[in-house]
Amino acid sequence: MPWHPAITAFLLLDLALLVAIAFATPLRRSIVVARRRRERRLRMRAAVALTVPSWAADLNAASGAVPPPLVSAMLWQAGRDANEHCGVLAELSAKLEVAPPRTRLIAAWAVARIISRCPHVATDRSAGSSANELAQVRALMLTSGAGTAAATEHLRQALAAENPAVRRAALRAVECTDSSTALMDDLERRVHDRHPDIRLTAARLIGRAATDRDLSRLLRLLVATDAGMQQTLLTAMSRADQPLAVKAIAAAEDPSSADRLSAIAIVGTGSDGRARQAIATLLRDRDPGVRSAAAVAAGRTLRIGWPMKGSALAAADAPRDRLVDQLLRLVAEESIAAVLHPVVQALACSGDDRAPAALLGRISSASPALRERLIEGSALIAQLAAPVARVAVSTLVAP
Amino acid sequence: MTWSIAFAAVVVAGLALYHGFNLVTIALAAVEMRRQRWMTSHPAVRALEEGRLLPGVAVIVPAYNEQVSIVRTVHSILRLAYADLQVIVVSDGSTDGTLQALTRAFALRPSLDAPSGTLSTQSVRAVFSSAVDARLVVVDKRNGGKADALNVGINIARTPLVLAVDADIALDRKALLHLTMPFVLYPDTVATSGVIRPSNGCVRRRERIVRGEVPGHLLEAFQVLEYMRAYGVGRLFFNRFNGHLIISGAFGLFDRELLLEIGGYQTHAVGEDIELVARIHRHLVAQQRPYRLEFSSHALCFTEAPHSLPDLGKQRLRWHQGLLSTLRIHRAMALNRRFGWIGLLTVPYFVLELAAPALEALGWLVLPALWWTGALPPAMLALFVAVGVLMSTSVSLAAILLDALQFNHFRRSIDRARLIACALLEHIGYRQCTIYYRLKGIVRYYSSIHLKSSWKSPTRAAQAAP
Repeated sequence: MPWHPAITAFLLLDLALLVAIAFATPLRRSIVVARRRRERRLRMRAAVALTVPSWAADLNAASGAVPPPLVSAMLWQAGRDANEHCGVLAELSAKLEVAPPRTRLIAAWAVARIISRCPHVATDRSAGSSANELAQVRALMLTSGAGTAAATEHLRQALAAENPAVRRAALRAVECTDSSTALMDDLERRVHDRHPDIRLTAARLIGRAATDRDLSRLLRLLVATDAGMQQTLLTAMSRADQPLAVKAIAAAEDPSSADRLSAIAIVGTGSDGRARQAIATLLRDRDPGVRSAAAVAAGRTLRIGWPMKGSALAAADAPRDRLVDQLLRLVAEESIAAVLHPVVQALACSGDDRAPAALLGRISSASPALRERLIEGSALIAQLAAPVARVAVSTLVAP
Repeated sequence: MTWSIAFAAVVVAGLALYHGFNLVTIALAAVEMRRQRWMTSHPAVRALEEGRLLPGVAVIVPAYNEQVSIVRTVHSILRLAYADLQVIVVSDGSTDGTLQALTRAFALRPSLDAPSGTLSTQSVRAVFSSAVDARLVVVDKRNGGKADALNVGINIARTPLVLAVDADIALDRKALLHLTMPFVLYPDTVATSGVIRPSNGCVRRRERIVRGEVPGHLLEAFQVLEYMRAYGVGRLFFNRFNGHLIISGAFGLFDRELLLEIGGYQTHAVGEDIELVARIHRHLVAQQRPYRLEFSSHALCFTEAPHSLPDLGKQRLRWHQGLLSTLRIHRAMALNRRFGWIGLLTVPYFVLELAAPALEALGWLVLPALWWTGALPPAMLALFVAVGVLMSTSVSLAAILLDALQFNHFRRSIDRARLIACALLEHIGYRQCTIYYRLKGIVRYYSSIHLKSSWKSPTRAAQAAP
């Protein structure tokens, strides 16, 4: 075979690569060491630059003449010395919007440090533009210690900002910093925001953070908002572990109350024994609207209490739940479809061993739409139930 | 004599172009590697990781008969270092004990969550949440394929970003942080992908991969090298000019709103992940919206590579058919200046990638035949073979070097020696096997024996072990 220059070239390349692989570990180590040394040098230069009183002006000038790594290092140093030079928040924030990504990130970190260390600066509105507001709100999220009074005030102003992006960022910051309780009024205002995503987020935060004192607020919101918002509020409340449902019982059982249906919905977000008892009573109400709302609430409360796989179905000798008794009675006797549908759904989540028989027993006299729900409900029980219950369901279906 | 040499020259020129392009990519990949390094090393980035600035992510795990691996995968995802996380497991009408395994492990209960997205899918039977970990949502739906299951997950998700993963993967603890970083740094980012490595041979501790080792099984070791080439060089190169056409369905993070806007995954597509990315490009270019598809070389995901030749064959057949199908559907992108680098470089490259098995097969079959008939001088044949082998070995060695410098994933000398051996040995048998499977994919595609968007079901040997 004639020796060709191409073969020589590729052989040499392969050999060079093999040698480099053999020495990859020390090579990698030397690269890391060199990088750290370079960074240290930059930090020292930055520290020297920042000892000059007019360092804020230097920072602004830096975007032109000074190389980007030094700008980054200066910003980094500014963040570290936050307590001394916090008056330049606006300059830093401005940099967040125009600088390259790396500089932006470090500037955000520096802003966050300043806000958390010098809370009085956070309320300084001299920064002005909404771009700066957004940058500052985002920066707040960088620090977990942003739950100071000044930071809360900062968020309050951001929640009322004109720019929807600022409001969104503020809502996210409220969620991250667990400051919903302190900002309940502001969040309620956001429930009526122009933007649907902002409305829903605000409702979710209110639902999660609401306490006994917020009952009237919740009743008001449930009446005033649409179905999607109500669902969001109630789902959030059902996830939070609070005794709000018990507080709502009185309002739910008061026939003269205008907020009765909303109160029933709130009762359904609790799995407390008293709440279940109240719903059982409401299921016997004369008004079909109340019975329907109570059935929906029953479904919600039974879902929260859904036991681990099959445990409830297996416990046939356990004391009977009065709420389930009422649901079983209704599934057999109720004639109004608007009440029956939520009753079937509630029974499907009850986990009671009598539920499959009651649901399947109603099939023969049901309308097609209801029949579908009855079968779906039975299937849901069978899917999660213990094998013994599944056998029971299949026995019922077999004939 | 002349025509035979001309023919041989065409074949070799095609191969040289393909391998030469791969060699050029190495230099640019090294530059890109340097750019990406600061994203993990700077103290400000570490501060960002500890803060809550990163957007919420829903990890969608479509599962079909994954009883063996699903609980382990969900545990691995729930342990990720990420503040705002939602995990959505979509059981696509599994007929084994997938749902029961999840119910047992995570105490599932019916949930009030309902799909809020607008993608049309097969019907959802039930949605469950976990009493053990509130971040977990499990969906039981009628069987409709992987793409359909992913669409259900997108509908259920409540977060701005969704991550599609396979049910047999293990994620590095900081994988999500690195994957979401481009969304924070570059506001026009619409999707990101990370590095996928075979988990075969890796040392696990508490559902986490703690150390990489090259598997002793030769077939698996070859695949480790292949993944290294694809992600250590290829993806880094395309990242230099926003030219990604592939974001793997096993590990891809997307803007949820954009997915809803373009109709989610196509359920009838062969390679639903490549098709989705091509559609994203077309949609955003048509709307003249600035956008960016990023690759994060520090976001690591481990998947199980096939253990046997038949499984490898099925995988390669599916991949190649997916690529062929997508390039056919979106052929208007090729050499189209409207699409920028994607049209001028990425799509032509993947066309070459598609043709590479045919060229290689021709090289391996026709050149010796020409030599046998005396039409090609033996010295010329030897030259062609030597240059071809040396060029592709260079690409493999460069990938090993870049990986050692950037990640140091394989720290033992024996592992690096094994990889070098693989780079030399893959020319004998392994490459020919993959060429055969890829060609088979093309032939089957044109014989209308398309693989539908379906579930991969290789034997889970490693995961079946206790």
